[in-house]
Amino acid sequence: MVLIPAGEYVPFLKAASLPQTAPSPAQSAPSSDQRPRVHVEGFWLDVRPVTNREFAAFVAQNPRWSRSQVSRLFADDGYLSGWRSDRDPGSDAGPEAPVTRVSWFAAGAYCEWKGKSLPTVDQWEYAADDRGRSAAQARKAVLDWYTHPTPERLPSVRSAARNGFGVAGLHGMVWEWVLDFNGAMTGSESRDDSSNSGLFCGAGGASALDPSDYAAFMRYAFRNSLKASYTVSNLGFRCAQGVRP
Amino acid sequence: MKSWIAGLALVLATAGADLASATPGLSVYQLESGWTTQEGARIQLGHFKEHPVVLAMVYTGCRTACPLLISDLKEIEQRLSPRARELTRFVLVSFDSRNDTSSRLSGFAKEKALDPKRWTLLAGDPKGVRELAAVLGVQYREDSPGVFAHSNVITILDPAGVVRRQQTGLRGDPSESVRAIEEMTAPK
Repeated sequence: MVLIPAGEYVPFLKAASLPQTAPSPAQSAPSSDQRPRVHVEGFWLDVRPVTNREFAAFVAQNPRWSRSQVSRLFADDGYLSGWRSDRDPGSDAGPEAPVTRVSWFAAGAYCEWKGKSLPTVDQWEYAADDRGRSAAQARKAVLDWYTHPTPERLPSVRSAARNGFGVAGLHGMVWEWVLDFNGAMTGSESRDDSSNSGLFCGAGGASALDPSDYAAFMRYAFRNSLKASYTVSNLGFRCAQGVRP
Repeated sequence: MKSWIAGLALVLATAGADLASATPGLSVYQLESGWTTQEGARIQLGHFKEHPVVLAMVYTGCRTACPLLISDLKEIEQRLSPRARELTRFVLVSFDSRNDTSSRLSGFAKEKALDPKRWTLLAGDPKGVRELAAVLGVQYREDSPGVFAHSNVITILDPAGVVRRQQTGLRGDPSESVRAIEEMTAPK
């Protein structure tokens, strides 16, 4: 894992309550450009996404997370469907390729087994933001990635370059689960009632801070489309861990 | 003959296993998280097994959406036949693990005149809340300490804990939810 030092970033979606209430010290701090910044405490983050080989070790020790035994409440029927068998990813999946077709529950269970947890959306976005050091390249990498279909075989996680924090493969490899994937409020139910701003966040498009950041828009929209049991062929994960004082 | 019977038995056993794995439970009661009621009792969600359940996620510090959501649940309660009402359990689960203690939930239940025979208010740890919201498709986020943005979803669980219906948004027509519960509680 790599230690991500504490810092701030400007989230793509702003919280609806921020303009209405005084920013709390824990959540944001004033900045010269008036955009709400989110403070993120220091944390540990996996350098790379979790691989098929690593996930197979988890399944071997936790058979309830094998393809044949997993509950449909926790994973849909596409769960690990690219694997050769119940416990064996097989050569097609690529042992060092990121594991995909795992649900939020399975990803969370893996991280818990490791004594970790999924990163929050703030942790993930802050690590990916990389203090703006490689913003232009990252944006280009993501857009290039969006325009190409997912390859039959995902590349090894070792092929991805590290960013300024020392984290690899956040952009351009697979989408990644976050702990609070169900936190963005762009669903139809919030849109329906957005006339009352005391009840809900506004619709996603209206609250986006930087509409030109299409790459981030895609990421937030994708997260918002997920349900916890979904499995997707280009959706993987990595784990995070808090820093104990 | 013997081998034929043994073969048949094997086929039946295999078919049984296939059936079991082909229809893994969708019951919400597979969630293992623990919860504290407004009376301070420690329970798991399976506590409500064998009853139809009308469930919503709220928090007591919520002054806008939640009272409307609770009145939507009460409307379902009022519209049910006496038989169905008697059998149904109404469950409010708090987003706010930090502030919603059992005594606060208890005070809230009294303030809202929720009949303790039928209504249970639950507080859990953040992980349990996160998992339940994920299973039910409820979106939420703590915007500032003690203030949660959340979608408004009323979920009807059948007596096995499987989601049978969801009503999203506020002040929706409860007829379908009421009908679903009446069907579940009709005499066999």
